[in-house]
Amino acid sequence: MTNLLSIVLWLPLLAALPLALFPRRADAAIKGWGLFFSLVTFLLSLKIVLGFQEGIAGFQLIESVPWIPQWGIRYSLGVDGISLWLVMLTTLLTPVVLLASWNSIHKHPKEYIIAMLVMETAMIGAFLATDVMLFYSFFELTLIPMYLIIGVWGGANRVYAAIKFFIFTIAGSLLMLLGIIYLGALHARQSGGVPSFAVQDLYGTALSPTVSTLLFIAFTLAFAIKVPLFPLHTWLPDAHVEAPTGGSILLAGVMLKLGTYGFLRFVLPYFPKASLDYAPILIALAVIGIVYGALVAWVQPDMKKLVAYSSVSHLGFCVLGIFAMTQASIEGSILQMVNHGLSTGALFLLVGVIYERRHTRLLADYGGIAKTMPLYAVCFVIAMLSSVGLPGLNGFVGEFLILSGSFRTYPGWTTVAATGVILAAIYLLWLVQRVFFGPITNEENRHIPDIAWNELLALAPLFVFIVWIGVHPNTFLRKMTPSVEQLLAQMSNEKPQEKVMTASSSTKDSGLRTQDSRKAVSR
Amino acid sequence: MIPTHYFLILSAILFTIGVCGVLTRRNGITIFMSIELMVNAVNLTFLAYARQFHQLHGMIFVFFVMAIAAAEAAVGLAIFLSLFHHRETIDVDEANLMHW
Amino acid sequence: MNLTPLLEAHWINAILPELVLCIGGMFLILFDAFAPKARSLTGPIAVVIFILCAWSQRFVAVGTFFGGTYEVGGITRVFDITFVLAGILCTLLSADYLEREGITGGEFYALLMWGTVGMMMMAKGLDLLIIILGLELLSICIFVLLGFQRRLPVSNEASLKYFLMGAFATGFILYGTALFYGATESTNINVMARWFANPDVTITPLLTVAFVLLMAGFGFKLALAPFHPWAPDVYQGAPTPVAGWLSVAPKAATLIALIRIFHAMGPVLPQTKWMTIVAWLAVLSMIIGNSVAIAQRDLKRMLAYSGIAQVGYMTIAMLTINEDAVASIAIYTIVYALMNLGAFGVISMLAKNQNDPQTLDDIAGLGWRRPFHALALAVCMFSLSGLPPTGGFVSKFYIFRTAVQSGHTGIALIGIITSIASVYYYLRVVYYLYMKESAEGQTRIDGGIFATGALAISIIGIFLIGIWPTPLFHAASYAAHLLLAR
Repeated sequence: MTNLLSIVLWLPLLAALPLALFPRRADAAIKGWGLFFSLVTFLLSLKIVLGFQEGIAGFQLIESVPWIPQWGIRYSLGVDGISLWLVMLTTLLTPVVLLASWNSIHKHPKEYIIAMLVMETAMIGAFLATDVMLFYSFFELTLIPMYLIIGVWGGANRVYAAIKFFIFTIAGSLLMLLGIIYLGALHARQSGGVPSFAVQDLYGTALSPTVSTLLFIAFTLAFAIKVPLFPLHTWLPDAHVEAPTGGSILLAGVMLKLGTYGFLRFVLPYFPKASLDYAPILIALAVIGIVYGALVAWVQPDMKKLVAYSSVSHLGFCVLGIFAMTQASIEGSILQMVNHGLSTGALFLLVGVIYERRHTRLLADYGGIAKTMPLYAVCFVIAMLSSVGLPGLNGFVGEFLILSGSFRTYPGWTTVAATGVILAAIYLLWLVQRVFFGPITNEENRHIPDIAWNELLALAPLFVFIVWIGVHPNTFLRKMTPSVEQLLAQMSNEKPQEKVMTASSSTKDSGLRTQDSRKAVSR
Repeated sequence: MIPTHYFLILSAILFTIGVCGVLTRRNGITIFMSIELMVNAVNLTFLAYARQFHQLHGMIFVFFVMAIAAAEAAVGLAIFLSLFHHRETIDVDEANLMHW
Repeated sequence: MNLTPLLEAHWINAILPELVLCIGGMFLILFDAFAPKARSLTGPIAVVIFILCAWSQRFVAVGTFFGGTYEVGGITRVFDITFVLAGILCTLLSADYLEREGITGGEFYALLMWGTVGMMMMAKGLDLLIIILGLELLSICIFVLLGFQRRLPVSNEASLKYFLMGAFATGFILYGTALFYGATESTNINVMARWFANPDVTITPLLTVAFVLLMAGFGFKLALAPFHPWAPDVYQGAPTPVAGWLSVAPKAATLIALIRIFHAMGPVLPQTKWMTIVAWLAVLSMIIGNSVAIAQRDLKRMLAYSGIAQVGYMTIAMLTINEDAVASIAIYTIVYALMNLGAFGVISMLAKNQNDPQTLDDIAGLGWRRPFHALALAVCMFSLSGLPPTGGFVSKFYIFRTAVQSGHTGIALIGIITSIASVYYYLRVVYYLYMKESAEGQTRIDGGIFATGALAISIIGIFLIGIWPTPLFHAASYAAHLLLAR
């Protein structure tokens, strides 16, 4: 299949369109339809992994057709080592979400499935796009379904959370839009009036230090809000607590990664100088976020809020790894994005399971439920250990790589960040201890039905990958190494980038130009 | 011959009086009369310039401006009439069903 | 004025669309008078006439006509299409609206058509006289359309306010024109352009005054801040489809007229502060429009303030007249017509006493009662706030891109920041649509087949331009190129 990426990208959306015509009563058919197509998408996305050639740094499986030729905007897709696993994470989590919410969405199930499928397309598109404007379009498109998912199917305070989420993210991304426009205008001027927004074409744009700093700020702000980085994180707990389980999983699992992915794809290679200059600030913020998130998570009385703050902490590790700018730390960071999607996804799913049964998320309402829900307790402990970073599970690999990689460039901050690992162990073990063990204090907890088949089925693939990454991370790391190497090479010497620009703009329509120009850089 | 700028100053004064009238008067008809005054000041300007340039152009413009003013008056008076039906007043301050 | 060859060859082809609409309007009035039983057909006939007008564009002769006062070219065709599109959407919406409100009248559509003729004259006028005549033809039609619901006090009031403001503004435009005439010895834009292109030309303070007067007058028509206060009241009181039409079509016509004027002034603009004045108008409009809209609960007033802000965005592109600026304004107005008329269209279906404000509460929970209409409104809102993949995103992107390329990054930044605020109030509509429960005795949505069709056109158009804008871009930038090539 030559346009495999397009198929994976658009299939969920195309599946969502006929859903609008389904009769409202056909509940099972609607859910089945959504689940079926998300599974097909996942299976097709496996073909991306199979077709992905190791050892190539540039984009692969490239598709490129002009979209808005007047502005040099192209509909161009491609995967490289950085985006591959994030795409896979998205296609994996969507069926998981649909399966997990099989019985828990009672209000407007049809619209819920449609929103989820649109969401999937938007997120996949953001990861696959190799044109900045195409990326931006998908990046913003994710907001609309997520706004509706939080706002319609969320908890009591959902509207506040939804609007806060939307305004925060769009504030950042609109500033980035101006940055993109400015960058595109500069590029057009430098390339003699040939506009282009292709990711790799813009790499070569020469920027004055002031412009570079301003653009760096515009881009960084957008992605920092999305991640979210420490002082900008306030929308996240609200959004997570109010979102329905499925929304939380996708939000934490995939949407936040758009921020870290944006750092890797755009901020570092476009503004290498500014990135190096401001890395200490971002690393400081990331480490503050790690510790702050962990401490706040510790004192949360609400399970979901606890997991939400643990996200702030975990994403801090990703940002630390990215701005430490070593091979190991960046690879660890990418792996940690996937890990976080898996383990936090599982945790949110499990919190949703128990909320479904008891309609409370307060730690104080539980205690000793390992006796009534043994299977559930086992699942929760696995997910928890993965999140803590137990050796042998996925979290360990990611955090270890990040910390060992970052230690080389920022030993001080990395040491502080390492306490985040310990704190994570404390608050998560504390959570498990209070919820699952000890005597049953609340009579209502004596008769809770154990985890159901669909929830178990949804968790199973997550656990498979949690163990797989933990035991044999090389399956995953191998594919990302060349891309990361090239990213760092691009960062370290800015000179060859001019070659990139001329090489790529002269061979405008050749699909192979990516690899060519990438090779020019690595040489 | 009277210099052109005499006419221009006169028309500027007339125009200013018209603007002040619009801004201070509250009776709809008076406001409209002030607007007519503004329009006639414009006509005077056009004629003064047309005379100075020995052109027909400005004079033709004046004919059209007069036609415009007449058409506006016709529609405007109908609007006042309709409003008077409802309110028995054409004081624009009374037209306050909606918030400014 | 050169009077000798007043009527060139093919002059009738040059004004064919206008003729179709003029005659069509007269026919409708007669039809209404002589076939009272078939009154329900007036709406469909009006649509057919508009379509005929669009079709007649194929036979239009291109060139300059009537002694160099009337120019037909690519850009006027693009704008003609915008006007006709707005006319069709408004007609479709009105067909159901008027029936529900118990108003009959072929003259309603006739006025709409003649107003459209006025706009076409504004777009094609190469002489300030023609532009002003078109503007007046348009204004007079609007005065009547606004007050069409004679029995409703709010409708009368809207008409009165627009009339007084409009006549006042016309006074300013006329005086500005007169002063320019005094300097350039002509009101013909081409002649004026030659005068401005003369390197020895000195810009006297009097000319600056003339420019300010002109901008004040056109600013009134565009509802640019600080000349905007009429807009919310007029929109609120007007028959809703008319309000929607008023919020888009006349603005488009005024903008193209201003483009011609600014283009003629082009050579002297760098040595004057004139564009700084325009930039301030744009900035003020964006700030005032977007911040006051947040406080509005009445949907039409909210859209009025949003319209003030949207005109502010369009004005940014006008700060430097080049091909991109013209093309981006042309595209923005088309998209704006689709989305704003779509939004007003849904509001026009609210079956309640038109004297009462149509507030956010009226649309609470609409998403689950009338999915299609709610979807239409939501799409329009997302498009107005400029989110992909809607036409609103593409057109706003174009505007800001043009501004940045012309070196107005600072103003574009203000535009971006204020549009963050705008997201809040547009989203609030979506919030009411989908996240509020509908109450007992909720206002019904009463959409007939015509109005629903208009909404469908809006949605399809918005997505089409958002996803595949290339053909439109080609047409617009080619037309812009022709306009500026002179």
